[in-house]
Amino acid sequence: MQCTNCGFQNMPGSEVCGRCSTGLGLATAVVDVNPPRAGSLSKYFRRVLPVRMVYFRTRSALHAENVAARVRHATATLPPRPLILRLIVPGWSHFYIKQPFRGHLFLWGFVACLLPTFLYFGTTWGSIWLGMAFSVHSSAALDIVTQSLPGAGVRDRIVRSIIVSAILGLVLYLPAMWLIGGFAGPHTVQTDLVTFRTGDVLLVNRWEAPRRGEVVLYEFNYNTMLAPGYGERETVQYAGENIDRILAMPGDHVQCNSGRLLINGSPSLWQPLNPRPLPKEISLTVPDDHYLILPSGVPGLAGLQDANLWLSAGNISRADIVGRAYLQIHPLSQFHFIR
Amino acid sequence: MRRFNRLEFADRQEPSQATLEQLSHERAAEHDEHYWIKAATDDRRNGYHESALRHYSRALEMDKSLVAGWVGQVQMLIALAEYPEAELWSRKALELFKNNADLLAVRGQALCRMGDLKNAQASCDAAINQQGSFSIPWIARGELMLARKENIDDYCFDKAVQLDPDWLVLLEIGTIYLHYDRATKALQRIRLAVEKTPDHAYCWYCQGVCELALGLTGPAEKSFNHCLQLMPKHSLALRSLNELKQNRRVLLNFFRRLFRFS
Repeated sequence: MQCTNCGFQNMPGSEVCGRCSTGLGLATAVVDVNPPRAGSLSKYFRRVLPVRMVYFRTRSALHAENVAARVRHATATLPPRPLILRLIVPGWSHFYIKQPFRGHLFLWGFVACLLPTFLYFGTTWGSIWLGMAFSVHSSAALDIVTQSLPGAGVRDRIVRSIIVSAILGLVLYLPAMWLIGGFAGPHTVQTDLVTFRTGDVLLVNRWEAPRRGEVVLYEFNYNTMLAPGYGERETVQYAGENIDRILAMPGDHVQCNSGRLLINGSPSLWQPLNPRPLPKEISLTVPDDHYLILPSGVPGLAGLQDANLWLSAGNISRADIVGRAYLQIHPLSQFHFIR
Repeated sequence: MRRFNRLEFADRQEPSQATLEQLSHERAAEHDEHYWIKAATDDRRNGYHESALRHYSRALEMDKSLVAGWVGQVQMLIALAEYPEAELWSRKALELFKNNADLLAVRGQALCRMGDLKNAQASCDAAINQQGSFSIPWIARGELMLARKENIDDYCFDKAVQLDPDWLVLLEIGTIYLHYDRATKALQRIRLAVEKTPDHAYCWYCQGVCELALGLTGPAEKSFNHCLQLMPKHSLALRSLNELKQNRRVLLNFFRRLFRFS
């Protein structure tokens, strides 16, 4: 019996080829001969998203570059731990390794960039100065790393600078920004109000629970139709943010007699930021999960005396309150604590 | 008399569907596996890979020990850009025909198209090490070298052409170059194929595709027209020619010519 694969002449009665192990009874064997086919959709997706190709290429690239050995080499020659920990403050590591000149250069360079950052915090210039401070900081860190790993080529230096900046950003700046954004997040006023103008920058504490008397930033969407007199109709619309004081907490009973505000029967210690346009008569009980914040600073509402309008516009849900606005930092001429 | 079958006579009854099916089965049963292999090869030489794949399957239904059928199936799957299926099918075929050089080579080709160059290299090496002189392992090796951007692809392809001077080998090499966006080299090989068999439509079609890839719309149109003269119902050429006429892409082709690197 001759093998169909290799042509070897086998003994009669053999089931497999003695040379290549091919089955000799293959011609009559029960084997599916129709190949699997790919659908047009899967072919399309394979063409558009060549995942398999990318996987194999990445794998072979990693294998060719011997990444594991490179990582081992890099970690073995990294700066010592005390030096790495001191990278938090630019220049500190340089002082530690007795390089005071560089230390002073980086430290004061960083401070020089950080001060305008705080002065212009929340504005475009503030972001630019913050970027410059970050670049000084990453340069200081890169300088330390380069001193520990000398003799690198241009490509290695570029890669190293990217890695150092990324680590610094992820480890230090991102958590710091998250922290600062929580309790002192800058907020630029977007619309002209009676009390604030467009472009003013306020610091907002988003983590603090709202309390009576605090000035808060909140989302304010209001749309109503008024009928002040016979045959007259007026539509009041407002959508956006507003900043005003919390006058009453959930469940409080509020009365306003001839412009005098009473909370639960006793005179209120707090007034809205712009107390002049208040209506003469108001009486309501603040619903649960709502706060009474009269929108006294909204230009469209400031002149209206309709009590119902004020009551319906003043009940603000807890979800709409962004946070406590406590400091105006821009423009610098109007720097003040908001009370 | 088959030539008079289509004549209409008043008393002639239309054959039922069952009768037609029975006839086709009988006609199919008349042919042996070699007939289907030949039909598959003819389809392949005309660029009808889907049909060729079906014919290879028909041949294998009759005789599963035909290595050429299994190899052809895998090659057609590769030509139809179904690489994972081709790799799977080649593995299955290799279980039946262990260490078959052609099957190892086509498996290497499928792996190469999938991007798994490491295993493709192993498969190609195993194919080359087998006894006998075959052109397919050298084609696969050339493709691997091309994928790895090593400059010995020409040597491998030349070796394949030496072992099998058939024009289809040249055409396959051309399509491999085309797959890796090396249209200039592809055109060189395909022109050789055209010189060898100027009366074969598929060669002209492939030449047109190459010229189109290089942005040479005029010569491409001529090649497609030549292909259609030789085979007026060549669907691929008809489609390409229509696309070419509808969308001339003059500016794009100009820039292609300007920044041609391969």
